Amino acid sequence: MLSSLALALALSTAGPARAAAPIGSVALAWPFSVDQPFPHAWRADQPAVREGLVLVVGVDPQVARPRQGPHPVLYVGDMPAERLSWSATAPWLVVLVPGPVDLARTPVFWGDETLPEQVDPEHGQAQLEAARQAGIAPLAPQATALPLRVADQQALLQAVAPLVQQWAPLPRP
Amino acid sequence: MRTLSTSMLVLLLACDDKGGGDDTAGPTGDGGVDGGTADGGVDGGGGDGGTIPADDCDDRPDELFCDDDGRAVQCDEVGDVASVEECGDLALCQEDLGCVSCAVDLAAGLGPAATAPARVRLDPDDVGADFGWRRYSMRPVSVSVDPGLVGGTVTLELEGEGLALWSADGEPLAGPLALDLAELPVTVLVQGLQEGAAGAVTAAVDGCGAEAARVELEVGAWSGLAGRALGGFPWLERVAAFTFDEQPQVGLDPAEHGDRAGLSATAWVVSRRSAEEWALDPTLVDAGDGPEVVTIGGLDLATDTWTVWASDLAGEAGAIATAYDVVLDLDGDGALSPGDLFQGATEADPAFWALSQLTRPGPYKVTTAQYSGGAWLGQRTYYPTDIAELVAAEGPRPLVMMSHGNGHDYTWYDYLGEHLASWGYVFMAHQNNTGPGIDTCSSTTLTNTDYFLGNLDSIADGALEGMIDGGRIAWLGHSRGGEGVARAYDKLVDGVYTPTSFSLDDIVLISSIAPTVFLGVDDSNPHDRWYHQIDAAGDGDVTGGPDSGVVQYLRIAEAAEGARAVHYVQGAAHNDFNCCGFDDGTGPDLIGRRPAQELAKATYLGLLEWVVQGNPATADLVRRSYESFHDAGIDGDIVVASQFRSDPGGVVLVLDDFQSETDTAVSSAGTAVTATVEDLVEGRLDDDNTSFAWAASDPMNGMTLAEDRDDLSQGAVFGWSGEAAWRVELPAGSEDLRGWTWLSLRAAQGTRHPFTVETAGPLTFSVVLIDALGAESVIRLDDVGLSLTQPYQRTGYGAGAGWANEWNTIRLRLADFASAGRGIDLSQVVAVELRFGGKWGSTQGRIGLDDLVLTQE
Repeated sequence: MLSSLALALALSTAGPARAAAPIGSVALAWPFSVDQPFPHAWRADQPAVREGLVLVVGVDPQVARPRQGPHPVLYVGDMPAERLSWSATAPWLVVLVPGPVDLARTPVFWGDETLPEQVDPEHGQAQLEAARQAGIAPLAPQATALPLRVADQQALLQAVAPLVQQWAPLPRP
Repeated sequence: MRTLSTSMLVLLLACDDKGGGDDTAGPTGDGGVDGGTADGGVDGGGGDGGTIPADDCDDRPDELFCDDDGRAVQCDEVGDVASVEECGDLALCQEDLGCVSCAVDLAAGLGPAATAPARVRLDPDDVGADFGWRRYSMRPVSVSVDPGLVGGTVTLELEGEGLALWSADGEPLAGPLALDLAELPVTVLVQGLQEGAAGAVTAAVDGCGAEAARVELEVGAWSGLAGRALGGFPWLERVAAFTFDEQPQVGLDPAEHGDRAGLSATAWVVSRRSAEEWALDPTLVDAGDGPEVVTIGGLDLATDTWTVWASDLAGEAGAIATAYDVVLDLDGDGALSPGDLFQGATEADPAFWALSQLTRPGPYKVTTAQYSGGAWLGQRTYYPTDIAELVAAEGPRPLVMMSHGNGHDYTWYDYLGEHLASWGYVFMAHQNNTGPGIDTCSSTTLTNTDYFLGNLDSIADGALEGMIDGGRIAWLGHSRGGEGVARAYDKLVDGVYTPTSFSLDDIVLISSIAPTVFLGVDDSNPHDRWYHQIDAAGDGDVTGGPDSGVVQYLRIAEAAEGARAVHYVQGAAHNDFNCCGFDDGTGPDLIGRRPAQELAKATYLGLLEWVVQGNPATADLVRRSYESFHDAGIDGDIVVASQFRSDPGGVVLVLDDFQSETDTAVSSAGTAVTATVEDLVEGRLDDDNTSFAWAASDPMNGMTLAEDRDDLSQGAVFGWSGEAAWRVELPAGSEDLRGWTWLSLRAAQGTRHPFTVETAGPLTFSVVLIDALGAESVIRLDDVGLSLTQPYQRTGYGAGAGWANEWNTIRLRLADFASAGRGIDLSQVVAVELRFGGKWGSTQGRIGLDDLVLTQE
């Protein structure tokens, strides 16, 4: 595990602070649950994922373009979302967020540039507060899929794969 | 050859003038040689030893015999003494022949224009004690006398310490030797046991008054023969390998081989044989387009350098490299013999390796398997289709892994997987959970390693079970994955992760392509592992820019504690090293994906062969400057700044690495530093602002080797606009450099500095050794094909053009400073000096300097 010192250093070496930025839309919300919980690696405390939402969100591809260096984190409320699609050009992003999530009251937004694994709950809460202060409002999903129940993380990823392929496919060799 | 001696002729003439009855040495009487008389005359002397009994020839008409006093007596046809010859000090009387020269001829293969004693090669101690091949390093000395000299003995002695004598058939010889004249000629072999030893072989016929014959000897190592001709001193670069399109050359340094001056020889390039093979079969069979007849001038190395293979090198089909030995056949017998000059034959290493084009596919057909062991355990593995056959022949195969970068995919490295598998490696690329960050993706590297090695019975239907050498794992990572592999190793070191199917020591190489540095080098640290990096100067993502330590990838290389190498590729973009990432290339002359991947294929194959497989054939691809040597299949226009550092834990003497002493007048070794360069500053190699534009207030402008407090690399920066120098004294007691192999330093042009802008190209200077007597030896970098690359002319981060400072390792072979009779005494070098400007190199310049060390290899 990272030492707290290293965590602090890493956060301090993240890119310049960015104001919270809105996304374009929520095209699809897909509730899911898993029989075997798995850790949410996208937050420092790695909460167990038992249920949640898979979302397809409309984004500016320039912002969403996957980067190696400091990159804005997509938040759903105070929780960094797990990114499932990595297209550099698609205007859509497929993400996963542990639930339960009430999208009617939870904004989805771009937060500051850091590594999600270094975001602790307090930092996530601060990002949410910043988003609200910036006037970023919740967005209602344009469509909702029927809840999905699968065995585990691997099955979930396999189930979502066609969605990624449909909305934001990766280039293939 | 039997000849009458000169003394005999003199005496024969003298007898005309002497009367009979003379009892002195004069053998003649009246009548002399023209028949004399039946009685009286010379026969009548009678009595004492100076006379010839009158009846001596009575029974020996026409005979020539030796009397009891060693005189040669010629009888005429009627049995009278025709003449008597005193043989004197330089001849001995032999029956039927008369006086025969008793001088001994010692032949040691000296050239007619020899300028030095016969050099005896210092006995190589790497080949065991078997005389069969050790003899080739000995110097033969042939002992002969006039063939007519058959009775008696020759006493042969070896003078001096550090030498030993052997018979030609392998018997050690000791003490003065009595050689039977009848058995001559005889060849003995002189073995050199101590560098610098001097002595002689002497030989004299017992009873002969002639001065003993003598061959002076000196013992010295050979610098080798094969190399690359240079345009200036030291004239020949001794190299271990050539690419297939180079022309190997052979050079003889008169300083070492002045004893051969004036000789002709036949230069052979011979397929590598083991010592045992050479011992059994010394026949020379040229493997190239020779053999080449050469004449050894003995004047200078430049003219005593010959191309021995003018056409493209041929190699063994399907081999990474083919080894060759080189022989200069001096006795012209078409075989390797004692006294010939050679490199490779009987030694651990060949004279040179001819490298295949490493960008081309290898000999093995490749099979690819794709599978998943669960979430984040998707893998694509490439392996030789006939791996069982390969393993049966050569043993289990090393494992090479690839941990991709953020937003990348494990299926994006087909080019590298297929390439390495075609050369016999097993390459596995895996899903890498880079999105959350480095700690997470490093865990993915670890779990995928465990999964792969723990499930070989099922992966690819078990085709790899028993085929992998789990003790030879190379972790490659790209981008965040490049940091991830360093972080993964750190986790092993710290015990944070406990592997189930491998151990810490099984990771033998870590290589990162343009890695991020999110976690800092305290956590993303390759520690003592062999560490390598490929960086892209045109990278629009992990830019290497001054504004963020996260993208200053060289920090990880700096943190490496073991051997390391860096290839900094101008014009390459971040995603050139995978198939499908978006185009982020930024800067001029972008090289594009295919050339970058060709470079990666050859670089990795060469690196893996040497570091992971222990194949010395490809070591030069890593150790030598890229500018000087790189794979022939790589686009020749690509500019690469390369660094190499041998393991600091090995035998290294640091002259100045600027780490422990910040006073510019004192080196890290505690010795004096004197400098006439401009604006000399020592400090952390950390650009102090977010701009690459030159500002005098930021002397470390362009330095990206350090960022936060865990980054420790320090160095010096300075400039010059006229002749200038930077000099460091050697520590007391360390003046003898003969035991060191390399003088190594690294340096970088200072980006956007006015002097750099003015130079507008590669920069050169000179390196000088100075001995206690003030003798100097100067090597100009441009004479040996080395320079400091011009900073990549990318814009951004302030005014001007020029990206981060590009470090280039400069390695000069210490023996080269003393080659070609340069006259410096390497046993008492007192200072190393870098000279700039004017006749020493670039007119002006601004550089960073670091890691001036001596190393052994």
